[in-house]
Amino acid sequence: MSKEKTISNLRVTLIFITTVVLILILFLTAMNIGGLKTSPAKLFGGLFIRYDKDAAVIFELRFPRIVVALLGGALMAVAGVLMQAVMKNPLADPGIIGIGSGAAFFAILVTALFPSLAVFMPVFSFLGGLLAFAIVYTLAWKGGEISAIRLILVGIAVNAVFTGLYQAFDQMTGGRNVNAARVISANISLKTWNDVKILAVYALIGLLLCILAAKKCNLLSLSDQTLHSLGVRVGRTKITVSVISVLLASAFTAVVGTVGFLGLIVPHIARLLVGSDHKRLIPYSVLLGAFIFLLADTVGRTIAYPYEISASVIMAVVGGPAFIILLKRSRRIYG
Amino acid sequence: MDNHSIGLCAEHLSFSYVKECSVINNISFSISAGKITALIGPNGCGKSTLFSLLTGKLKPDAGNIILDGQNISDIKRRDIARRVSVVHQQNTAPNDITVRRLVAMGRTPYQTLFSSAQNKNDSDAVERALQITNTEKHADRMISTLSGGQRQRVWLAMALAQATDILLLDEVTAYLDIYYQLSILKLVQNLNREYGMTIVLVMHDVNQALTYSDEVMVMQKGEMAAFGKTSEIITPERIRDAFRVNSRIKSCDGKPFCFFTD
Repeated sequence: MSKEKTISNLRVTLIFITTVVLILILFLTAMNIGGLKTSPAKLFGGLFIRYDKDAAVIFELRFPRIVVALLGGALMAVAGVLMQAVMKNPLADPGIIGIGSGAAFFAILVTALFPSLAVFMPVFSFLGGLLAFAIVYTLAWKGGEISAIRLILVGIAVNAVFTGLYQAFDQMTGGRNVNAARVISANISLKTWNDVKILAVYALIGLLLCILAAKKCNLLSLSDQTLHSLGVRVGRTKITVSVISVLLASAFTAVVGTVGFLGLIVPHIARLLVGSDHKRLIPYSVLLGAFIFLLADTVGRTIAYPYEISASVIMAVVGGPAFIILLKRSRRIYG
Repeated sequence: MDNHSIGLCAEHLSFSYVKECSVINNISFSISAGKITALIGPNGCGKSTLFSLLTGKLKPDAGNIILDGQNISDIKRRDIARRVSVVHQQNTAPNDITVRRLVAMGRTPYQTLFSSAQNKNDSDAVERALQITNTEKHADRMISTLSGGQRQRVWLAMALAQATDILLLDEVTAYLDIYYQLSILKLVQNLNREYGMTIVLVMHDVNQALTYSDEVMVMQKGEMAAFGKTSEIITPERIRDAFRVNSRIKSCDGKPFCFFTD
C-alpha cells in the first residue's frame, strides 16, 4: 500500500473521530440551553442514579428534540447522498427537488381526510415522495441522461406545486390542521419520545439498507454504458437506490417537516472531507448530517432567546449562501 | 467451420432509430475467434450503431447476436459481462477514485451483493490487469491525475479485470496523441498475440486498421460492404467506394500503407 493512501486513511479516521467528538460536545451544549440549566454531572446523576426534577424535565422535553435533530439530520444527509448518486448530479437534494414537499403533501392530505390513519403518516409521505420523484425523474430525463439544469428546473417546479398544494390545504382548513402546520414550520421544538421512536425505526431500516446501497452508489459513479458492459442492470440499481433515498427523505418529512439544503450541503462537505467512495461517504454523512442539523436547531434556539427560530429557517438562511460557495468551489471537482 | 458454436456472430441484423430509416440493414457476420477485427467505414455508416448492438446496449429490430452459440437476449447480463468486455471512447469516473479501485470494478460481474469483499480471484485478476496494461505504477494514484492516454490504459485494465475472451473497443484511440494511439494499439495487439483475446475495434484510421488488424469489416450505408482478411479487403477501389477518396497502397519496410492522393 502506498504512502499516499495510508495518510488519506489516517486523515479520514481523524475526521470521523473529530466529528464524533464535536457531536458529543454539541449534544451536551444543546442539552443545557434554555430556561432550565443544570451541570452535566447533575444531569447524569438525575438520569441514571436518582430522580431529579430538572433532569426529568430535560429528559422529557429537550432530549427528544435533540435526538430527532440527530436522527433526522442523518437521514436527510444520506437521502441526499443517494439521490445525488442516482441522478449523477451533486445538486440533487430531496428537499429542493420536491421529494420532501411531495411527501409532506401526501402526509397532510391523508391524515386530514382520514385522521384515524395518522399512525401511517410516514407510509403516505413515502408514497408522496415516490410520486414526486417519479415526476421529477421522468421530466428531467432527456437523451438517455438526467441533465443537471433540467433536474433543478423541474425539481423547483415540482417543489413549488406540492408546497403550494399543502399550503393551500393548510389555509383552506383555517390553519387548524396540526399536521400541516407542523410540517410547514418544520419546527422540532415539541417533539416527544414517540416521534423519536418513529424516526428511529426508519433510521434503522434506512441505514441498514444504505450499507447495501454503498456498493451500488459506487457503481453508479460510472457511466451507464460502462455499467451495462459490467453486467449491471442499471435501471434496477437506480430504482433500488432511489427508493431507499425517498424512504429516508419521506420519514424525515413525516416527522420533522420540509427542510431544504440539508440533503445538499452535508453530502457536499462530506465529499470534500472524505472523498467520493460511498463506503466512507455514507457513514460520514450520517455523522455530519446529525451534527449540522442539531447545530442548526441549537443555534435557532439560542440566537433570539427566549424566541426560537426553527432549524429549517436556519438551514435556509445559512444553506443558501453555503450552497453558492460550495458550487463555486466544486467546479474543480465536478468539472 | 464451426462458427456458430464459439465466439461472437450476428445473423440478419437490422436496426433503425426511426421507422423506415434503417441504420443497420440485414447484416450477418462471424467474428473470428483469436483475431483482431477492425470495423471501419465513413461517418454515419452505422458502425457505432453496430457496436452498440454487439455490446447489447441497443436491441436489434430483427436478427440475432449469437455469443458462444446462444442468443445474447437469452443470456444474463452478468454472464455476458464475464465473456465480453467493452471499452468506450469516453468514460466517466469520480475524480478521486484510485486506479486500483477503478480497475477492481471490472470484477463486478463476479461479485454479488453480499460478497463484495474481494476474494483472491478478484485481487489476482486486478493485479494481472494492472501489470498487463503497465498501469501498476499508477495503481494508488487518483484517476484525475493521469493523462488521457494513461486513463485509457486504465479503462482497458478494468475491461481486462473482467477476464473475458472477447474485448470490444469503440474508437479508444480517439482524442489521444499519436504516441498514446500507438501505445494503446500495441497493447491491444499484445492482448491478442500473448493472451489470445478476440478483439473487435471500431477504427477511423485506415492505416491503423492495415497495421493492427487481422480482419476488417467495411461498413457502408448500414450494410456490410466487405469482410475478410485485412490485406485483401483494403484496396484503393474499396476505399474509394467507402470513403470517397482516392488512394494508393504502397509497401514500406514490408508493410502496406495507404496514401491518400486527393
